[in-house]
Amino acid sequence: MIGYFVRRLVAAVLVIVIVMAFLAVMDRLIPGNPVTYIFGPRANPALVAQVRRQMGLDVSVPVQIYQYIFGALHGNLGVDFVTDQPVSSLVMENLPYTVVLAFSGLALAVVVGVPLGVLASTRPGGFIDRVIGIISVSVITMPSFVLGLLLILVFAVHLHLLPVIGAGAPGDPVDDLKHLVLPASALAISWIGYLARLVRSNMLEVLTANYVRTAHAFGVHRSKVFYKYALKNAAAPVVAVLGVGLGSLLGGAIFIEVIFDRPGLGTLAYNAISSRNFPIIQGTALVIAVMVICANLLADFSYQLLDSRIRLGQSAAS
Amino acid sequence: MSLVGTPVPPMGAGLSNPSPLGPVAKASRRARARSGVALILRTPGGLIGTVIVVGLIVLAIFGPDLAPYTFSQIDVNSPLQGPTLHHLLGTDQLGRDLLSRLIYGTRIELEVAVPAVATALGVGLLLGLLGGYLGGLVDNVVVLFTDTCQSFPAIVLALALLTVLGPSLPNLIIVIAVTFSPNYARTSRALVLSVKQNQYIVAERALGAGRLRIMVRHVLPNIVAPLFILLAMDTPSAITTEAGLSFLGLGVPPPEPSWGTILSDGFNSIFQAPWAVLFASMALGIATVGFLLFGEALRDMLDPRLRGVTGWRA
Repeated sequence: MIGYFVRRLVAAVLVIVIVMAFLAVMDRLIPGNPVTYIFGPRANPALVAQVRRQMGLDVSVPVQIYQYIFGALHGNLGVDFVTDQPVSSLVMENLPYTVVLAFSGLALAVVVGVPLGVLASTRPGGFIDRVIGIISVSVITMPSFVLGLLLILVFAVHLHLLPVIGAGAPGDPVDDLKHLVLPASALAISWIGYLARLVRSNMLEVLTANYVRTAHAFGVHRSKVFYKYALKNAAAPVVAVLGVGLGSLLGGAIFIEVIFDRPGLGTLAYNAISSRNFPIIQGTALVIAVMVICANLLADFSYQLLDSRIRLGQSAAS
Repeated sequence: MSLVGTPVPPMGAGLSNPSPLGPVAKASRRARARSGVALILRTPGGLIGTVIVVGLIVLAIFGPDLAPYTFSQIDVNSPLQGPTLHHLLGTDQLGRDLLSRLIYGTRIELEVAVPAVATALGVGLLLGLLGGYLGGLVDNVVVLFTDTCQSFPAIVLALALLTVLGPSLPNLIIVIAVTFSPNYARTSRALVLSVKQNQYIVAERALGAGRLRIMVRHVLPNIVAPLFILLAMDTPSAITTEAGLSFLGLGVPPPEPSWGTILSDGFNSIFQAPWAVLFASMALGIATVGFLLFGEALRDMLDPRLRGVTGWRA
């Protein structure tokens, strides 16, 4: 068990290093001369030299990778071309917004999706099961940015119910919450459908187990059997899915931030695209990748601890 | 089997044929294919899915002939209109016909999505086959590669790569293929690992077949069916990825009408004219549902054991 944890940890660190190396040399993929690509052919030579140095293009590839990783480990992610601010402080400024958005989306999905799945599994094939089934299938397929646009269309354009721009006035929790409702829902909706489906099928499997039958035979109340005994085992895979899903959730958050004009990593990266501000793209991608790797690791570990029947140790390492 | 140059079957090759049906299967292959199509069309989901997929392909091929206007034809007098008789789905901010733009967009979506997913499948399959079958160092490298790629959310990796490479149609295909291939590598590696355990592989090895021969002739045929299902299921993801990247301005450059560009144009004028967003979302939704239903029907046909694994039907 501990051996497995250690191996996973080492693998995660290795992946982070590779990610950093990849991001460090990414700007060499730019066709032609990257600096000319950014500033045009008539740029000031002194400026060109300076930016070449900033991008690490004046040194060899291994040195560039080393410099980037060394810098990143010391909290130095390079300097924004446009404003000359350090990328790390820009990223740290925007990170909390994205984390809040992603986790509220995740929480909403769990709070709504899991009970719906249990509800659907109580009478498979029944009316409620069918309705939940149809709704989940139709929302699972919707990308979050389309859902976001549609939510804006309904709640802001037609009903004028909720604000759709920005993250709310700072220091005003009620306003912040109001601004969070639509973006978080846009992220959560397809996950609600997915979780409902996942929990339902897990529940149906668990409900055939002997211990459930025994519990029924002992006259334990139906809801206790469902929510206490069965759900406990049916919910373990949800944790794993959430860990893996955080990546796509963060990806969706980028669109949601752009659509709802919220500050955050997504908006930061989006604004950097048009000015070809590579250090910012590098920094955001790195931070998001590290978050995803950590989430996967946590999900893996908690999955193992939650369900002692799973012993991935041997197969996962092979 | 041009891949291995089909050597003359060695003695005992017939014995090692993994197909339990033997020569009978070959004779009735055509009949089976026909009944397979019938099987897809039999369920309502399969029928709807097939109709949508075929419809999209027709639109992609014959779109320019079917569209009432060209995608860049500007009607200066009627920008941001709702649906009218002249413009069935309304017009955008420049007075361009939305229906025509959506129809032209179908071609772009499929032009990007299908080659991207096919490339991803090819690359992923190769990596998964090599890693899963050869094991050892090769396998470790493959796993490390997929782990690294998958630690980025697909859209972040695509965004970073496209910012560097610059937006264009070929770059879009490459980038989407890169972001999708780890998933295929992972899936096919897992499939190879399970197929490898089978007795007929052991028997084949005992008969002295080489690694390449076993991989191509015996492992590959047994893992392609599930991968084809993934192909159908992933096409809509590639379409939405393309639309998303176009929405962020990293897709096909204007004035080419990708669905994502139409969405983004519509989003900019959402308070004056909600039609563009509504119809473009509907196009995306219909395409996604169509490919998914088609994929599910395909899965039920190719591998009945998997029936209901991801489906909702009880």
